Amino acid sequence: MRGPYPAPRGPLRWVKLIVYAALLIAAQGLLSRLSDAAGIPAPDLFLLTGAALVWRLPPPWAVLAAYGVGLGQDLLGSGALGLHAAGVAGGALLTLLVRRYVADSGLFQMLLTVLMAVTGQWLAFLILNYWLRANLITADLLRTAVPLVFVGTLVLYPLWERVVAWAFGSRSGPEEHLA
Amino acid sequence: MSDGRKFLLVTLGLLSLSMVTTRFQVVAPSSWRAGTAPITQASVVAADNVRRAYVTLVHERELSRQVGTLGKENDTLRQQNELLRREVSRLRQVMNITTTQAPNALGIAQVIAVDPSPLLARLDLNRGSADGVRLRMPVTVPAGLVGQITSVSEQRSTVVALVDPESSVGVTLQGNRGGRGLARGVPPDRLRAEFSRSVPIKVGDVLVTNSLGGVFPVGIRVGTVEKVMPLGPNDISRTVIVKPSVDVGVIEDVTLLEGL
Repeated sequence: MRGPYPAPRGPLRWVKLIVYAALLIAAQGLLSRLSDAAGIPAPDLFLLTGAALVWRLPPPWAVLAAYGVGLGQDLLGSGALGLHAAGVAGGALLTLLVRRYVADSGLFQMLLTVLMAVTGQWLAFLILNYWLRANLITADLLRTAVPLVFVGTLVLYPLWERVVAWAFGSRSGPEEHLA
Repeated sequence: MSDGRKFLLVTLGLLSLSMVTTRFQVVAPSSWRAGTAPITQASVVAADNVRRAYVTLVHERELSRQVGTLGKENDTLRQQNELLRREVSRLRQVMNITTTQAPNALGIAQVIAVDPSPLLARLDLNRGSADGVRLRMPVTVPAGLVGQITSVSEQRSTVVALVDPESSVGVTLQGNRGGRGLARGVPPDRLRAEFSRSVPIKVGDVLVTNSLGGVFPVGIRVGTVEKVMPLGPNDISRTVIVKPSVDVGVIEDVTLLEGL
């Protein structure tokens, strides 16, 4: 079933992509600043972007594109390149499971999408943390930050899904591109 | 190459890339972020404005709540201040009276009722026999004599003011200028005093109490001569109209004296 937004074609596609990137950077900056002031972790719009791409691209391209989105997040954050890239790609990887196995397109699917995206992201962080033998991720952080990131991202998901649909077009059906 | 293998290769490749870049701490040059700086700056400014607006709103509510609380406290303190001011005024009145009129003041009483009749001038006080009030006690204010107690119950007492028609008080001229007279109340607000013909009384003279009758301490101001009535050929006394020193219509607190 096709949604109200057809996938953009031609030059419009690139204009929308640039506008979307600007919106993403601005909205994430705004949320991060507000969340910092409130002392809570910000919702992750980059992760939502990665998850949204899963529903619109074939799996290898979706993971690759999600990695690119995460790389953009690393660039903006002035940290080591690859950390968030792996995180968003990990989120996209687990979101693929939702796309493959969950036919529902309502609240349940939304919940699972965000849950799997956040889980995949933090699993990737944990793998890299182990690889680096660093203390980036602690048990306290997992206990306090991850649930808040999940809730915040889940709350923003319906709104951001509309922005994504405007920029990339509405979702294709669950089986499309999976063959 | 199958799709599954391709997918696995992509995933592992990306993970490996991340492992390498994070291990070697590859950081992008800051100049790469220059293009997005205006956007991030705008979002930071917007976020700060939103946060400040929220803080201001909360702060204003807090201020409004504090203003309300302080307003109530202010009202309470004003009320307390008013009570204390009245108390100070009463104590000053007692001190004034004990130094200028009589040293044996019993205390202060408040006027709680007035006689509604235009012909009578009587006041009810909130002190009675339980407070030591007795019949015939003089009642004064710093401006002068008010009257005397004519009725006492346990908690209340009644004062017949000087201008009441049943009131009579012995008077003399202020400053030991001699003369003895008797002043009676003339409703609604004057006294009529009679002196012997030989007393050189004139308009403007101040009359004070004398010891006639043994009720009032000597020297408490009663009033000012307003008019001297013409003498008839057979009159044996001189009559004057006196304006009392105290307007009983406005007094709130009075001092009770022990009397002679």
